[in-house]
Amino acid sequence: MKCAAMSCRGLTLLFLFVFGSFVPKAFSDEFGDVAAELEDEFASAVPASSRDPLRPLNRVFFTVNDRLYFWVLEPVADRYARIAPEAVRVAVSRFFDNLGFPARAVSNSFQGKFARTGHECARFVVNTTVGILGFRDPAETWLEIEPAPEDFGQTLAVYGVGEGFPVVLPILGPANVRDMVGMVVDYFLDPISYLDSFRLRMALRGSDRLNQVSLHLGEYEQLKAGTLDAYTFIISAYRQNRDGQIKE
Amino acid sequence: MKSVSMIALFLCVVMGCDIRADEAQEARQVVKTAVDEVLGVLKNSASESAEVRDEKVNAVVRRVFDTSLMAKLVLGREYWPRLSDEQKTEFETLFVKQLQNSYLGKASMFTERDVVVGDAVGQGGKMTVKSEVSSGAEHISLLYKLHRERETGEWKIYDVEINDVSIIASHRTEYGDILARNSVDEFLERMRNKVTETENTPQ
Repeated sequence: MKCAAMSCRGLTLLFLFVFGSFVPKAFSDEFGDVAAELEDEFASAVPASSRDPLRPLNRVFFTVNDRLYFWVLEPVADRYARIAPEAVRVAVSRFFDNLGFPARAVSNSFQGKFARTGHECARFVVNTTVGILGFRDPAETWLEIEPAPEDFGQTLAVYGVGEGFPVVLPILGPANVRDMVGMVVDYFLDPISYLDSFRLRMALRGSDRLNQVSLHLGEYEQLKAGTLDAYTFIISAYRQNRDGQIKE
Repeated sequence: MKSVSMIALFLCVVMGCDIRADEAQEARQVVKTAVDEVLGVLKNSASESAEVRDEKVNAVVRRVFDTSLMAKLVLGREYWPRLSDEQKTEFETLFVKQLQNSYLGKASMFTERDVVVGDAVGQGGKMTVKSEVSSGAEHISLLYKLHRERETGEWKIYDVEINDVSIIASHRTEYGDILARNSVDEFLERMRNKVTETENTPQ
């Protein structure tokens, strides 16, 4: 009896030694334990391709936006940037940013971030008056009240709504199902949406976009220079960036 | 006897804390020095040829980043073993060049004044260092992830998160997607072409 038990154990040990050493060791041999641990960290993060059911359509719109950028936005923004000094363009950026107050205030309060909602209110009042319609930002520079960027997509995420899947919107760029819904809500919280003239609304929105592009010239080109497949990279980057914003 | 062991325990804790603080300082210093050096090189690059500048930056990058670990992590358990030894070396070189091409152009816009390097946090051989870059309208937050290399005991960077976007994670997704549909040879061919194309295009 004893002999059988011992040889059983011996066999088991031999089995484990022979086979148990193969699989993880192959990797950690090359990598060492540190790398294997880090590998697990990255492996447990997002598995990309399985979560992109609209991929063919997304790629089409991605290309559309890419062309739009290089054929229209970038050339015009480049010329604009040569004419208008950076300080002016930053001021314009602040003006449009100030108009984002209702959306930010609503999202902050829906997330229970009442102190931040207060900050946003204070910023709006100060910047619209002393800051001359938001072109300047005395709320931050003098009073050190920091902005509290939030949007309804983040609010939905805080309430447990999953991102759904990636959606690339024409003109607007990468998003996901949840954030699209968030954008719709934020549309109704945007003062510009309540102007009567369609032309004026488009002009303002277009100007905002052009101004933003002019402040970030060359970045998209750089990103493309560093990737073989900008689409997959951007989808991954968008997700990570949003996750970071939501956690904040 | 008990008081001696209590003192010994107390000393261990205190010294342990000290060691932790030293480690944090070391890790932070690695990042700070690297950032200052690279920014310095980029700022003074007007008088030098592109090759000299690239060489200097490359030297810093190779010293401070654990490029072989990064190459392994970016392809991961699934794809890394598929490469031959030659291909692994080639990939590592291409990957580093790719990173330099995409991230350093932006870096040249900033000076040391714009960069604030925070304290290192972490334990167990891993540290993270936060850094903020602000200039004009720009505000970028960076998170450097470091680990202590076993052989040399030095702290090396293995990933950087730029506004919460991890370089390793993003490229991992990208390359994984390509390798799922293409052979290793095709993949490396694409990388070679891309790097050559980028280097030949005026930035």
